[in-house]
Amino acid sequence: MSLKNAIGLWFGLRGKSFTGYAFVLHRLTGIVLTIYLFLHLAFLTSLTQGEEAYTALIRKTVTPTFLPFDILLVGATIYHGLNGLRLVIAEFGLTRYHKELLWVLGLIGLILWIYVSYLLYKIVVV
Amino acid sequence: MEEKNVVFVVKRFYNDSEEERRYEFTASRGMTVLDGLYYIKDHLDATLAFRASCRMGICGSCGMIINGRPMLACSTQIFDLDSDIITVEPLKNMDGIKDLVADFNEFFEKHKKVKPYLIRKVEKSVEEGEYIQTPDQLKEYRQYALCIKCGLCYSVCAIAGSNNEYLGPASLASAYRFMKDNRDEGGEERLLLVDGHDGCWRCHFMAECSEVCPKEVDPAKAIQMIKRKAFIAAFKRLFRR
Amino acid sequence: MEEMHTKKVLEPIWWFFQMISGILLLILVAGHLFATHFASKEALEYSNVVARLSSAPIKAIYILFLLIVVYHGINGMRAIFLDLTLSERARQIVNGGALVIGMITFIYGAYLAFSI
Repeated sequence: MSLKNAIGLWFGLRGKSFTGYAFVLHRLTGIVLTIYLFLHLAFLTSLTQGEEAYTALIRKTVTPTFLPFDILLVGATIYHGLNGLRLVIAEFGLTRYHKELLWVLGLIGLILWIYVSYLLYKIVVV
Repeated sequence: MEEKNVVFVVKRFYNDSEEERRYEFTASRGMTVLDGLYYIKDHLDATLAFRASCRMGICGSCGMIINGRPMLACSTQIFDLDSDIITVEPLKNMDGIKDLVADFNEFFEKHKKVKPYLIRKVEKSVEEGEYIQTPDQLKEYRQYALCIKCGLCYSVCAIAGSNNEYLGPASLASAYRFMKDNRDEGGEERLLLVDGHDGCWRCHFMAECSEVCPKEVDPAKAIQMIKRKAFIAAFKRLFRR
Repeated sequence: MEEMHTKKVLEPIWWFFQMISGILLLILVAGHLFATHFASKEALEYSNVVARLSSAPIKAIYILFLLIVVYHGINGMRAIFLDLTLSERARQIVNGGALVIGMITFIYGAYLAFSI
């Protein structure tokens, strides 16, 4: 089976129910966060180049332009973390109510995301 | 009797020719999708091929994709479906034979791979009688023994589609059914068959298999329990030497 | 046979670490984000970053954090690649590649932490 077919199966939404959407989003955010991990370490190379290089990087990235990306990234983190918690509980066979748990954690995550986005906004803009 | 016009959009193919055929007819309340297919075969198009047998959700022959979701055609009421346009396709993650008839060979080969039968170190002879079991011991694995091998879970599983070697939900649930059977003595042998890279570790708990299962077998749960058994066994092996 | 035995031991252990590292990351990432982004605007200033990393316990936590996050990310990507139909050879490349990329990433991250 080709990679293209596999991507359709993993990320396609047709024929999936709620637990399937959770899987799609988990895999997607996992890949995004791993790529970001590499980017994060690459950016921090500036730390070794002294104060000016680092401060220039911060000046450029902690700005309203990058705020939407930051908010999306923190959303991906919250989702992957909370859904991951559900997966750990389910994969250890600790609950039958993983679907109900998805709703509860989803609600908590949404509230957390809104609050944290406000904090990010406050740091960057105010 | 309550009636409505429905359109069955059936994905048909044979050899290399593939087409979508639309069949319009009047369905009455109480008709299942399988009744609809029989109606088409009897009145509209006798060349339509599909597999069905018992019409009561126990033989596992009439699994197909109905409006994008794997279901048993005989257990799906036309009036329960949201739309009057009903798309019907053969099961996914399997080769097709003709129209709605999917090729189950690979599915059953994978089922055989987990040795889905009692393994005894010393077999009892028939004269010695049966292996006695209490109701509580039966309850341990009964849920997983209800599987009718309809292939719905295998069809909905994204990993079974992307990795041809993955054993799939039905076969792993079947393995777990025997792991939980107190008469079975093939524990370690069977565990080695299912805890490889093409076994339980390919499951990432999308859990759609348990959603579509018409018998509420919960294969997703069974696979997680196999993971736990495999981990405990590996942990023990690590400290044995 | 010996190789097969090792594989059988390792796959369940990798899975277990994936679960445990996930739980630990929940705490570590939350702490990291709070310390650098949410607590104050000054947290990201050069002098503050240097001050944080010069404290031995914080440095130790960061190295542990790095190890865990690299493991979790790389092992997760490895699992995704193994979800494809692969030949025995391709599977070895995925497993070997994950180990090499993971080690390089960890060593580079640790170098960053120790270089300031």
